[in-house]
Amino acid sequence: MTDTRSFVRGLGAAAAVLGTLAFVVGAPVRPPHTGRDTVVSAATRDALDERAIEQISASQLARWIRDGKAGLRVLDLRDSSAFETKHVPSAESFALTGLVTVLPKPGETLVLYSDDDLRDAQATAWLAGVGHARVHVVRGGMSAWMTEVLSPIVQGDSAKSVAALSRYFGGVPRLVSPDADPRVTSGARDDGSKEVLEFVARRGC
Amino acid sequence: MTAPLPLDVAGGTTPSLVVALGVGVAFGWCLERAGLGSAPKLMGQFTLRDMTVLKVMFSAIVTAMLGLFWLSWLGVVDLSRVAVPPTFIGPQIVGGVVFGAGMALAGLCPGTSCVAAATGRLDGLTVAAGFFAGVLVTGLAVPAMADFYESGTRGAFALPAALGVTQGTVTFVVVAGALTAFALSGRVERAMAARAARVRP
Repeated sequence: MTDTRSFVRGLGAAAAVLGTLAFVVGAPVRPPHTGRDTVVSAATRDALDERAIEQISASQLARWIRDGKAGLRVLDLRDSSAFETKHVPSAESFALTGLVTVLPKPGETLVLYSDDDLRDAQATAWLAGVGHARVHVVRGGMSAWMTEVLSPIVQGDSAKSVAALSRYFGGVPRLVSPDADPRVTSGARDDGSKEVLEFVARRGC
Repeated sequence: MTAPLPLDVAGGTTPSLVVALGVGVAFGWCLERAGLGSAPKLMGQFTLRDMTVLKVMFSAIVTAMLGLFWLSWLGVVDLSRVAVPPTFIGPQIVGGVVFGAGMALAGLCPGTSCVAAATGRLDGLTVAAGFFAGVLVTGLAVPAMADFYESGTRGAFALPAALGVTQGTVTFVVVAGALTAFALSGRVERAMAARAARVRP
């Protein structure tokens, strides 16, 4: 009887210790590391699988920002100097280790971007692990934002909407004639003028 | 490879069903050993004379909660692969009230009624037949109440997201609540036994 009671009290004490440590640790995932030589965890490898990461296009993110999607929060995972040079409007700069402060909120949609798939995957695994229900990664990161939103090639039925979306963010859409090779059309502006396109800091960046 | 293992990928649904059967039998054995196949035992919880149900349930919750938290932290379990049932606020409140009323009336819940039925108790067989009939009737009625049935959806909505706190905080609060309940349950049982003794002639 005494042995049983001691055993039960031991279990209770173990639960108390583990529960308190859980409070201290906060999240059931170890904080990700920023170094490229980091050993990729099993969770990260799974997150690298496209089935585990819900990717969106840069254009989709642009539409969400323009339309004022409720609960949208955009996180820029690149280093702070790259963020200062240019970033997606409304984005917040976060290092991977800083994501421990991003707590889940009801109705929130997180969109991550960087120029590093591994970093995206680590961040996604972390955020999903701490309970974020809606986490998206911008396919192609900042490069995709530059080419798809700020300097898109416009042609076909969607030309007007793509160009309007681009101009909303201060972009310069490139017009392409139906028989032209898209690979050699850089510089043709839809206002008819010809100029060399440069990736400069634009409104909202 | 991290748990839970993808049994459906490994060999179709048959391995999943075999494992489910094994887990179900083990779960039922544990319930029976804990005495939860007995309706009077369960009713003791409602009258506060026997706190076994609270102890068993809280033990299971705390074990699973701490186990998943720390196994995930160690990289053994991938929580993103653990299914979280979606939340439908209104329908689940109504369903909870119906479930609670049924459990108080029958003295058994679906799991414990299966345990009671497996051990040959007539009340268990009756309740199991009743809840299977209820499942059938509800399934047939779903098209007529589809709007309500799917209303108030919040997706996989768990306490950390609802309260805006970390998973560790929720784990700590639940563990603290369970340990407090364990500590108080003995006193409650003794108080109720003393009260019953005074009432008896």
